Amino acid sequence: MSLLSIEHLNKAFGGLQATNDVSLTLQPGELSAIIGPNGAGKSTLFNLITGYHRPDSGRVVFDGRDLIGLPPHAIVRLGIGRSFQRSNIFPRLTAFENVQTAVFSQHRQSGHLWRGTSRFGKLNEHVERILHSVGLWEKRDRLGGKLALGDQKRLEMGLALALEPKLLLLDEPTAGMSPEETHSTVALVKQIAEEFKVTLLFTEHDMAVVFGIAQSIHVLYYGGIVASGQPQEIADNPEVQKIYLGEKDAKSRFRG
Amino acid sequence: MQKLRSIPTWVWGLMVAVVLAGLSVVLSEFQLVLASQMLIAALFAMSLNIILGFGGMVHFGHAAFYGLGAYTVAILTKNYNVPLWVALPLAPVVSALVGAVVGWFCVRRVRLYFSILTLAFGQILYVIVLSTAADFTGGDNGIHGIPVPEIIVSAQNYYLFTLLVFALCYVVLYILTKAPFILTLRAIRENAERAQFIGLDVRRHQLATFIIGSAFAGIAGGLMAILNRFVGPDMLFWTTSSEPLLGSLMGGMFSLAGPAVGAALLLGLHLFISQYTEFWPTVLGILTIIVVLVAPSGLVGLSNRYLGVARAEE
Amino acid sequence: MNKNIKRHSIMAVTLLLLASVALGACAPAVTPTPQTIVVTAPPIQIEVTKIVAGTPVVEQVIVTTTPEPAPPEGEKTSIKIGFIADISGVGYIFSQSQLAGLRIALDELNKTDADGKLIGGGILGLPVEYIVVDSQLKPDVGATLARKLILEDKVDFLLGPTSSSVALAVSEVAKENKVILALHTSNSAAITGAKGHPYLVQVVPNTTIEGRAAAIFAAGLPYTKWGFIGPDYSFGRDQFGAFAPQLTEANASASVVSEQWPKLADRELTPFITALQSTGPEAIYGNLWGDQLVTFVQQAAPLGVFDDTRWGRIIRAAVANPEMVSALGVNVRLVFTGVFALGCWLAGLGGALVAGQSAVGLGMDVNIIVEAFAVVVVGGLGSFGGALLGALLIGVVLSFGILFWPGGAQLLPFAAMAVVLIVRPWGLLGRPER
Repeated sequence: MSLLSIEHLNKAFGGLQATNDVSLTLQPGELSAIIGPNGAGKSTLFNLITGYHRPDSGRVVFDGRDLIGLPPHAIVRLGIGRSFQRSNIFPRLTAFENVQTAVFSQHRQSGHLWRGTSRFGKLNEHVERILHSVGLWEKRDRLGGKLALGDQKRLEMGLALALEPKLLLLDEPTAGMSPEETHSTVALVKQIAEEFKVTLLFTEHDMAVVFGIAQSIHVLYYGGIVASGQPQEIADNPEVQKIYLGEKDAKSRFRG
Repeated sequence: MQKLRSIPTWVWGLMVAVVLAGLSVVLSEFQLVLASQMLIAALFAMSLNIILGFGGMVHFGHAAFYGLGAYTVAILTKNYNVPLWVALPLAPVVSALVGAVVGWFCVRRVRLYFSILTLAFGQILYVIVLSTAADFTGGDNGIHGIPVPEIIVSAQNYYLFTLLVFALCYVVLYILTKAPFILTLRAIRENAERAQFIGLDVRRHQLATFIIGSAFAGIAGGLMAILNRFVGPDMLFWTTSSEPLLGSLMGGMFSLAGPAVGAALLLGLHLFISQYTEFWPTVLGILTIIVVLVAPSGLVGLSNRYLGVARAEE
Repeated sequence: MNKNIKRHSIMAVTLLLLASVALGACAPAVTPTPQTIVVTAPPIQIEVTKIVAGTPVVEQVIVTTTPEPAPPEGEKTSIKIGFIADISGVGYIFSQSQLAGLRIALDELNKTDADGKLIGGGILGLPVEYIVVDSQLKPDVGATLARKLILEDKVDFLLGPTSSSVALAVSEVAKENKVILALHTSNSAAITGAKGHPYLVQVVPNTTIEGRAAAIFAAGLPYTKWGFIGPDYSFGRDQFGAFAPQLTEANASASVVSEQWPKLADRELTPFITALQSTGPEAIYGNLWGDQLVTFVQQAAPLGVFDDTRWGRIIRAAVANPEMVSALGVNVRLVFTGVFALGCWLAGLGGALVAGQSAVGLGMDVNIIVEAFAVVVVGGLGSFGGALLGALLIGVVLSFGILFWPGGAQLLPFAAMAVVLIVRPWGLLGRPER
């Protein structure tokens, strides 16, 4: 029984068909990537899955539930966590408070009016665990907005993890990173996927990252999926190579 | 400095409370009335700041809820002979109920639209009190001669009463600011969109904030009704909303005590400067510009920086 | 290093401010030397008509204040009067003549001979000083100032304000503290009637007397359909309340066919005037005063109120609706710095146009700005055409609203604003942005 099933999803913005008859499935525990040139519609697809936009037609079924029409906060509660391409954290809260907000939300304590946050021992232990996992424990008292970009991405992931998601959507997790930062992020993602037992769907431009993590790949082009399969199949697919032909060393990049 | 920081908060609070209470025997009658006004202004500003500073929602119609609380006390005690100890707790209830209705509409819009909508509702309530329901509310005249129980008639006793109510409200608000509710509110303020993606129902949370702020404004209004022994529709006019706004700005929007200090200081400054010149609005304007450009975190922010205390938003 | 200096100087300034406030709030424990705080104003030249040997003689008199010699410490050396005046706002004209009158009186009372001995009589044999404060037509300010004058400045008597609302509030304070309040202009019947007490002195007829006298006079005129316009507060209401029944009692066929109640600070009287005219009165009785009376005359004239033919009046009201003009001037957009100046220029132009329409004074901005918000929101943020459309709509809504729902007409612009923001935030002609 697939964890996520997207069937014939369509979305147009004015004259632009951003999502064109997209269908894909994800099995529990699968690590899957969506690749494609800029503007192919990767972020839009994420927005459709998480309820930020409403599709024109099609279905999204997650864990047996139809997601269409649900608001983002409800979809999140069903078990989908998301990180963002541009860092989208809470700048004037500390790293600790960032994750703490998410943890409290997950455990439905956000509206609690009188007990001080420091008195929630169990929940604060969760926060600690997540911060350790993403490697931000030493920087927990730094303001989110003052963290380095790479650390902000870690915080992003921490926020997504705090929701104990079954499915984690990562939108270009290594965008704008140096090779060292990219490397550590890849390691981090793999470690998190294993530690928290999440199914992963991520978008990326960096092929090294894609081939380093993904067990399956979907190629998006002008809003539609042109190829799906295992990494090696995709690498050998002539259609896919054509799409990326414009890029330097496209072929060589595909040699994993 | 280290020693100062290690003193627990409740001890600080107690010391301040004792000093303030002690003032009641030291100050002259006029000064006690002024001090009572300062406490009320402080409470009014704190109530706004829950919405403004912690919630990040710029609210121009807050005076309406202040006025509603005042009119509740006035109408109940004067026209229906309800005893004060029943009428005063009803003031925040009325303000909260109306705040719930108004807030429900307002939180559906963001930023600029939210602010203008609060202005619109505030003015609607003002006109209702002023003319539409004039028979009930006394219209432009307001309601004069509000009866005050014997025990708090003297300036000294009234001051102590106000201080007691203020202290209770402060403690409640303080507990609130340490609770998950305010943490969540601050996160929503920082990034409402992201907050949705952590599973938070942003609108519901903002509505709850709106209601809480309105309720405390109602208490401040009720206290003012008793102090002045009259209420007027001006209390709901939008310019009255600007007083707690500026007080919060000057005192420091990101703390609980900041707006209280700012509003009280502003009141004192107003009276002081008005003795020497008619140009108080000019002074106020210049002061506001200085604060906005130089110290956006207000006085409290400045003093925190000076003491080396790091608070999140500063 | 620089940051520290900046930080320290800010702290120093703040501490200085705090200290000065603290000092200001704490009155010195020693009884203060009485001071004469005089509101600075140039000498006033007024015409005074004196009866000399049976004939009225008109004199030009220049009124200045005579400086007081410093009195010795200790025993009571002067009588202090606290004058709570409504200086700012529509009462400005009144306050200036009140001050002039006060000074003339004090000049007489404080007259001294060549040796400095008091020969004018003073009050209770002592020279008189006064302190003037501005209650700004606000009852709560008046009450606070009254308390300050009594408790801090230790005045012996209070002199009252222009506005009846302020007078009511100040009267409560006077009663509490058993200090006599002398009234000279505010005269709502409630002040000396229902809310009266032994510490009041009133020298002008109250609104009941005025209203009834006016009604008796009006009843003698050959008109049966009367219109009324007055400010919506105790003074206006009380006086009209005495006028209307007395009118019908003195002349059974005469009655008031239309009542219009603008607010005291209202400068947009046109909707009220057109509403008044629509009922076709033969004469109008009104008790608007101060700036507002000036505004009324200015705005009523082009509408043909003072003309003879009824048709002329109606046509003029429809064609030359001044609201459009002032609304055009109110076309202000909030934009970033460069266009902000353009907006300010437009606002200044509008103000200049309005200056010919109504009295100019402080406080014009407070009411017009929220109406401007309503116009812009309804028309659509970001659209000039929308602002024009919004102005027309709001103007029409207000004018008709006053006809059909006088008690609630003033909230219609704000209700329109709220509805637009809830249903269609970008207004009628604005562009939707998600």
